[in-house]
Amino acid sequence: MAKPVPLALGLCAALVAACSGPPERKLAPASASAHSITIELSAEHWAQFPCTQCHEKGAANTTERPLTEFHTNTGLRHGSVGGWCYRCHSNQDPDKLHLTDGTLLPFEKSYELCSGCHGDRAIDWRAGTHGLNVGYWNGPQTRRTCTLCHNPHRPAFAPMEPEKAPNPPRTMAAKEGGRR
Amino acid sequence: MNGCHTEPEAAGALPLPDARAGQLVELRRKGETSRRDLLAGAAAAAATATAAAGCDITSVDQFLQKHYSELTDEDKKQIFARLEAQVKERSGVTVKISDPQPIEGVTFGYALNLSICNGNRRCVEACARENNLPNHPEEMRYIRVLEVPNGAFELEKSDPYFEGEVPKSGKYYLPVQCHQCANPPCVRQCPCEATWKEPDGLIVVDYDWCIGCRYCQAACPYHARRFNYGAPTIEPDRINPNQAYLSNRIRPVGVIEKCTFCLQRTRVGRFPACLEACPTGARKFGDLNDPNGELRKILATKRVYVLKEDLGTIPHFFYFFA
Ligand code: SF4
Ligand code: SF4
Repeated sequence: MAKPVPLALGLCAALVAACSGPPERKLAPASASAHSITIELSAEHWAQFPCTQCHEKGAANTTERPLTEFHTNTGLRHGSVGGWCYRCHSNQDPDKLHLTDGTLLPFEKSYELCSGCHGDRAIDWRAGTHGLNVGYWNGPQTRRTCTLCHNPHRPAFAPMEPEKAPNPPRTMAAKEGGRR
Repeated sequence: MNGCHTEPEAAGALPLPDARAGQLVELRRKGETSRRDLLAGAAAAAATATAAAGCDITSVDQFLQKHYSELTDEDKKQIFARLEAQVKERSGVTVKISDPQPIEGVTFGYALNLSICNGNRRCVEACARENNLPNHPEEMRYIRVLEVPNGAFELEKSDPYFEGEVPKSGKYYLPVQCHQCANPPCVRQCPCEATWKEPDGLIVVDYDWCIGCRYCQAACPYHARRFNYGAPTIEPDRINPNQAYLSNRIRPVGVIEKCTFCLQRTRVGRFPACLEACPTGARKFGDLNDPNGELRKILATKRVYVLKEDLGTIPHFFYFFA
């Protein structure tokens, strides 16, 4: 009569397990990590080709005219009320930008210059509601500067080729004409 | 108008009256018990049969597996190891399955800027890669980008199959994925509690508990759920090894799945894959309970709307113009 005992014990264990209910759910504790923000810049470009390699300080002809020799592929199309290279670039120091009041600005601070005209966007960008931020929603984030997404000479997004369209369900594809 | 299938709650318009909800839960509980009794019997028979035939016994473990809410840490360890071994055997890829838990006090939300979305579908592709969506002709995608004529709000006038350079003039683009509804009709329709709302507001599916009835798919007013008609063949180099049990682990055939706001990423603090892939920065994600968070700023200062508000699903996914 040795066998029934382990069986009974096993049953008891099963019953106890069944009565104790499902395991308690433990949530992950809220983290107090700080929202640190790094602004991603595109600095290499102008570090490699400083404008002063060709442009002497203060020597440029700042009159708006069609360019035929240099910078012909800039495709400038920014704003509807005129304005040319020297609205943003400084003639006084070609390696810098300038604000409308003449304050010189390094290229990596270009977002300050953009903010001068695009105030509403700038407010949204600083609040994190405009632009592409990547990383952690509750921790360190990398925020892209304006010119990483927008070409400053042609800021509107160019049309792009979309990723592949989804396959229609088979029943639909089988109908005459395939796609709707 | 008293057939139960024509009542408004079947379409998800109204919450169930408490008494009826109680009865339903009771019924489901009973159903669940008998299902398990049945399974236990069947499994015993199956175990004998497979043992005799020398077959892989792990499928019986799967057969007997409990509902997610009843799994202990030890159960999970065993199940995850079994699932990882399965992937290794089938595709040669080493994956890691985890079970990140909801973060205390956090309710996830999403906001999408319709003024700048240009319909390029980078989010769709990033989602497919992150969430191990199959890439064969039966492919499914969680996000559908609808091309809608300007001025129209009737979704039947939209086209999810558009091709060619975007944006097209006279159209706007409306990406739709699971809205993680606060009052989710999909959850109410599930006959076996295989899909439910988590404390952080995410709606998840226990793929090993789902019976594939697709009631939830029919109940979802946003066309957010996808069904695995075929075996989930994914090229090994497309498999994302960072997987979570309730989200992007490779799903078996015959179960339902959907967007989970990338809980394998977002519950450890990262942004969802679709957000980081969007070249226009149209997507914003965060904690709805954080008064200083980006989402609350958007809700407070932008023109915001939700899709099919009249259905009372209370989406946690918002569209805005800015
Ligand atoms: S959008 Fe998501 S949560 Fe809402 S009904 Fe559809 S599947 Fe359920
Ligand atoms: S398909 Fe699965 S999750 Fe959906 S209702 Fe049926 S059992 Fe529930």
